[in-house]
Amino acid sequence: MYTVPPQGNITTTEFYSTALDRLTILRAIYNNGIKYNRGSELYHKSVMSEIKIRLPLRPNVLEETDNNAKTKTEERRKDHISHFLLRLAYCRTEEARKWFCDCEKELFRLRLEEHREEVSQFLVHNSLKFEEVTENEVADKEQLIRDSSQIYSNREKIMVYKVPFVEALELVKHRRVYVERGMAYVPHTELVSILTGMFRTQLSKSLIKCARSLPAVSDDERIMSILNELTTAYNGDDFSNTKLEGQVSVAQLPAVSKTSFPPCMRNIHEVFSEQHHIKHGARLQYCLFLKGMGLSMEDVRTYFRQEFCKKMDAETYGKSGHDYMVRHLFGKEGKRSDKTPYGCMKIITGSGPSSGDCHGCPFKHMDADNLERKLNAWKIPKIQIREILGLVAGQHYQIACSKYYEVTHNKGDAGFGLNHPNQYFLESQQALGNKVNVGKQGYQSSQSSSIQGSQPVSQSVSPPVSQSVSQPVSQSVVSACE
Amino acid sequence: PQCTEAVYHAEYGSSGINAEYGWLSYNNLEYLSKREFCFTLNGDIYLRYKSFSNVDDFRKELKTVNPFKIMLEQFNNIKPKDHKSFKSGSFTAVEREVVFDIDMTDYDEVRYCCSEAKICPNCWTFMKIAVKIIDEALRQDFGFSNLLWVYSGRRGVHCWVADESARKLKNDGRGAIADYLSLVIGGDQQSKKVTLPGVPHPSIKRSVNIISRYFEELMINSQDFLDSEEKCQKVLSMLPPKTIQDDLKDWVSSNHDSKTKWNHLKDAWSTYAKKKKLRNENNAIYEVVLQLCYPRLDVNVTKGLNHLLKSPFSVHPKTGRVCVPFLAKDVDSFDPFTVPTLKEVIEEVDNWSGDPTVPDFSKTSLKPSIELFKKFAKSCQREDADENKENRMAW
Repeated sequence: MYTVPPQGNITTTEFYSTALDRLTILRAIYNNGIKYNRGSELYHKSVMSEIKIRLPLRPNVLEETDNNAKTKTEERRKDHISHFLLRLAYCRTEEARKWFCDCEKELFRLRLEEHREEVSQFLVHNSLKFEEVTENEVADKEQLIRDSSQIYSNREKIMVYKVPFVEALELVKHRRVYVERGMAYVPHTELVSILTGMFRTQLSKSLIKCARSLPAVSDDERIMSILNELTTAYNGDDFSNTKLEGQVSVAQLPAVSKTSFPPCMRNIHEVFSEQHHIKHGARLQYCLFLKGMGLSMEDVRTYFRQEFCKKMDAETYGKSGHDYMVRHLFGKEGKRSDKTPYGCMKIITGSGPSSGDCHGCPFKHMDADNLERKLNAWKIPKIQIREILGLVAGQHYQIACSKYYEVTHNKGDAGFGLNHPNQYFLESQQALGNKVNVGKQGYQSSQSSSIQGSQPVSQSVSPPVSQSVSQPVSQSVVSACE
Repeated sequence: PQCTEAVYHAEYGSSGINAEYGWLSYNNLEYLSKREFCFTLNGDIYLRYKSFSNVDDFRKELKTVNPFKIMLEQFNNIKPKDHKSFKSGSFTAVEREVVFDIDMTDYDEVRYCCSEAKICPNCWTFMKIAVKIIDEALRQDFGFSNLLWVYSGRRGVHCWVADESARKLKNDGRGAIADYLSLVIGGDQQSKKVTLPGVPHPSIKRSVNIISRYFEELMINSQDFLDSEEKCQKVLSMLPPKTIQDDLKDWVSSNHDSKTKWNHLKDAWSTYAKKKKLRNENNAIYEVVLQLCYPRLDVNVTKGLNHLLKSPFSVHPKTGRVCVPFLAKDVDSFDPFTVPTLKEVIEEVDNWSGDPTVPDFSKTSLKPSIELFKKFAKSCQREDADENKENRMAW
């Protein structure tokens, strides 16, 4: 459960390499989670193979004649250290913390499931006790519990634990557990879910604490430069710095929406132009996208005002708060935090559209008939529509979108792994011949360098401290991790 | 007009506020001073981050500022009015009631008598169903007991869950409850919005039972939900795709009444399910019923800890009606169309000819609502005072 940070000294090269190994795994988890579905065979196979190579972790079962004892300890040590090192790297921003928590939780879950038989040992080891439901009570509620947790085989006797519902949020959220009077009745088969939930909560809290103590190590340059290398190389661009050379003007939007907008934004643009009104979710998603495109705040404000005021009068628009929202999203109001445009993951997994909404990801949020109609209207040939629908049925939304890109740009292969609407836009503009201004972080487009997705890391990014003398990392790092 | 609002708020201050104060502060002055209020003035000026150290301050400010809408926010870790003197980020929401917002416009897809801001006694039944289902779920499944249901003044209802365990929930807890209660999922581009996986969860079975008590009166009699080809197509698209849709072309255009057609549809599905030996063959019919009548929540209101929500007893700016509380168990007899408006309330006070020493609110038709609210506030205070939760009376 990573409650106690490791102690000791390690060299900077070891610092870098163990952290990198773990990061590669987390990155693999993230990417494969997009490509395949979490839970599917392919996902499991590809992720587990990465894990076994880089950070294997066999259960800590001490056998009498254990030849592997030494390697097992070595494995544990490496796993332990790399976890805490990455905490340092990913505790600084809300987004980083969320990404890290999600991936670590998934890693934890995968490992637990791989060794289900060890779960009870795990509980003992971490002093976790769950209240067992008495046989009488189980008999009473048996059908309810079975129905809720979809336990079909009537032969096995099920062991049920009773936990406050707040510790079983994943199950509650998906209505996969029986709850009564605030208690969740969790069959032992679902214990993994509870443990994963606890893991994540605990990690989340620790990360915030970690962020507060980060200043304590910020003057150790060796550490800071490694941490910076780790995060920027792998987080991908958040599109707050890359812009097109030459501004896109509001007048160009209708044309550009047809050629370079991904379907999600093209859809919102269409609805906006036809109905002169879009609801909250769409306003957020679209405004941030336009900001990522490089439109100025004034441009977006004017655009929104023009469009909305085709249907409502200026006074009502003034009262509506939409203008304020634009200013807020550009960081000029309230907390003055600079909001970043949503990536595909956020759009796909975030609050979907409900009645009257048009935001979200068309491949995820439209049903097959409606999607087909839309693609037809956009003049996609029938054969490709069928391919796209097939991908959607397999829940490969981003690949479906890439396919749309390929069809509309006449390319056999998109050449990039799609994970952000603004990325789609930039790639499209480049493909059409417009130049892209590379920002601070150095946007790696498919046309230039070769760093993408699952490429082996060690070749492209060299640890900046390899020349310096390998010095032990100080104790201050350890205390920061607590 | 200025003067009448001042009168209302003076009255609001004296009566409702004592009860309200008890609730808002959970009997703890320190809590009250850390609670954020937001006043809306005429001209849509929002005054946020207001907080008060005691009732008198609150009353005084109400009279001078004269807001026409008050919204209640979360408890914070420092006094909201001092927030500017602290570093940004250290001012955070600490606790807040769990709230739900149900709005009639979200039912426009399935109600045919009205749309948008309009409501009538026929479609109000959707609200009755929603209140019953959610109330049951919050009490039975989650164990909450201090629930306050409030009419929002125009076309919906709010629910405030004030139990201590609810107030302490973070965003993920609220999100989980909201998702647990969300069944109708999808926007306008999604025709079939309810899909049950396997055996229906007990809470869903319970909901179907509640709906069935109202279904005939609502969907068949008042909404006549199968009396046109368009309506029939819509219902057909709520069934699993590519099953009986093609076989029912005649059914769609036939001239029978909704009741007959509904029975017809159920039979057709039943035959199909038996033929294909489907497990859980009733699910498809449940899915249609649920898509038509299951509560449609605005989940964003529930999920956010700092979502501002209108205070009970506020006045709705467009209808003038007072946001009065009501009991879920009495929802069948609650009539939103007889809720008094601010004007009426003021007239009642002016026309009072009885005992002059009686507090203002007792002269009006708001009296029962205020009594109800006082009971609720008391129950909340008792919860906090009570060590032994078994003794807590069900509110």
